[in-house]
Amino acid sequence: MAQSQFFHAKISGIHTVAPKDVIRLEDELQYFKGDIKKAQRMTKIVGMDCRRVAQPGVTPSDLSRQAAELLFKKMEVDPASVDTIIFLSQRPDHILPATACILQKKLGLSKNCAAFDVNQGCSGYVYGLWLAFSLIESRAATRVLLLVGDGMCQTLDSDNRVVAPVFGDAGSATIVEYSEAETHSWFSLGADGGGAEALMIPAGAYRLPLPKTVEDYAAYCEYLRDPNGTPWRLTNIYMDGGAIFDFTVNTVPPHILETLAWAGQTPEDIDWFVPHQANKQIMSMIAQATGFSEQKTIMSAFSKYGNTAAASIPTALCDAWQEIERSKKSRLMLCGFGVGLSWASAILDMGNIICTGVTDFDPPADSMTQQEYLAHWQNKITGKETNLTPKEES
Amino acid sequence: MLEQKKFFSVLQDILQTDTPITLATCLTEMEEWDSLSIMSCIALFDKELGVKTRFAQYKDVKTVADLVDLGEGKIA
Repeated sequence: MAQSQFFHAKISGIHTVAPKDVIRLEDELQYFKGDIKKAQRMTKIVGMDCRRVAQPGVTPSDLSRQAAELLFKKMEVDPASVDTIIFLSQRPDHILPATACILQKKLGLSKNCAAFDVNQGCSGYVYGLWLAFSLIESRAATRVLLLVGDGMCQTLDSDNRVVAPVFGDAGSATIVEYSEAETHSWFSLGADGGGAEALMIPAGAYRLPLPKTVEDYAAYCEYLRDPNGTPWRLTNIYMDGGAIFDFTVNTVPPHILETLAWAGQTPEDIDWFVPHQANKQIMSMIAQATGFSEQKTIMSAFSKYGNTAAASIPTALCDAWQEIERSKKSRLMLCGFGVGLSWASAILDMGNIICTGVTDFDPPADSMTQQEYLAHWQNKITGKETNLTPKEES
Repeated sequence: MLEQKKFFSVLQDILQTDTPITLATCLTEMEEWDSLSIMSCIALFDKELGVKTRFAQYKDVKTVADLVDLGEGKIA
């Protein structure tokens, strides 16, 4: 297991942006055979209530970009001072290039800035922080902009009631910098690819690439029903919920306890425990198994934003920030787990951080719908004029 | 230990049914015997009985009696 300690890296600011449209469970009774009682049962058992879903054409990078712009403004940071940008997501804008390169331009960062993507899911925020802290501690970078944006809403079939009503979209920006004053943080990370197929989008990359002809598409469009009758398609997310649940309740608590012991800490030493917002039942079970009281376990974001995958920890942090700040207690333990399978925990001090909460996405002037973007590419390749050339590609 | 009567009442709540639960109640015929119910049972067994169960073990559960068996004799 990768375990690392850092003594001069710190988070100095964090912000999250979520789509404006709030979808309530009661608006989605199609998943519950029109029966409000079935929806209420979902709320009672797993805490599902509201989630935020981005309009088609709005990607995790759009949400993260806006989070970064607002954070720069609030912190009065010159974008040109960022020397590394990391975009961490399971939903990049394109197969290539790296979305971080596109964001370098959109955010007005220096051309001398290192830019790259990381593909990681629900454990991703902690993986991203670990990477950013490593770059800072080694003095390879002086100011890292970590953008973690995610959301599985566009990768779901709307008639799959197992996963469709659970997920939401969100994008976050975190600035990690060098601290002259000594800090102390502990990170512990792990993975088990033996469970990779428990949560996967099987087709669309290069193991099962997108077909080259319309006819060949048939197999990708076909609904495959599992023994419970749930429909799945190869280009969308597949989840074996039971396997993921077993992994989570059996692997994550021991990992947390080992991390605490290695760091010489107990749950009493931690002021706030911020788990990945998988669902309320899972978070409660983890908190209970590791000795964190429900009072210090931040779980409320799931009911407001849904499970936003890699973005769920920053969303939870930003959503609860006022309460965290008011408590004047800043020793946090973050824990992400899920797709991969993978998991990661961090114990760190988050005092003196600028956090401006979660704001609603306001589409920027250069936004394009999917249809406009398609037309842009059709025109671009065929040599026709396009008025819709996106700024980043001009 | 969990009293059988208490367990039946919690199960009735999880399954959201007004029909009284007995050992013979057939779970596989109930629409609400789904992954949510299984997750709730795993959590309940863990919390109340200290018995760790896995999703896969619920595959063979057909009746409430089978469920009680998973409780390793701690539901009585």
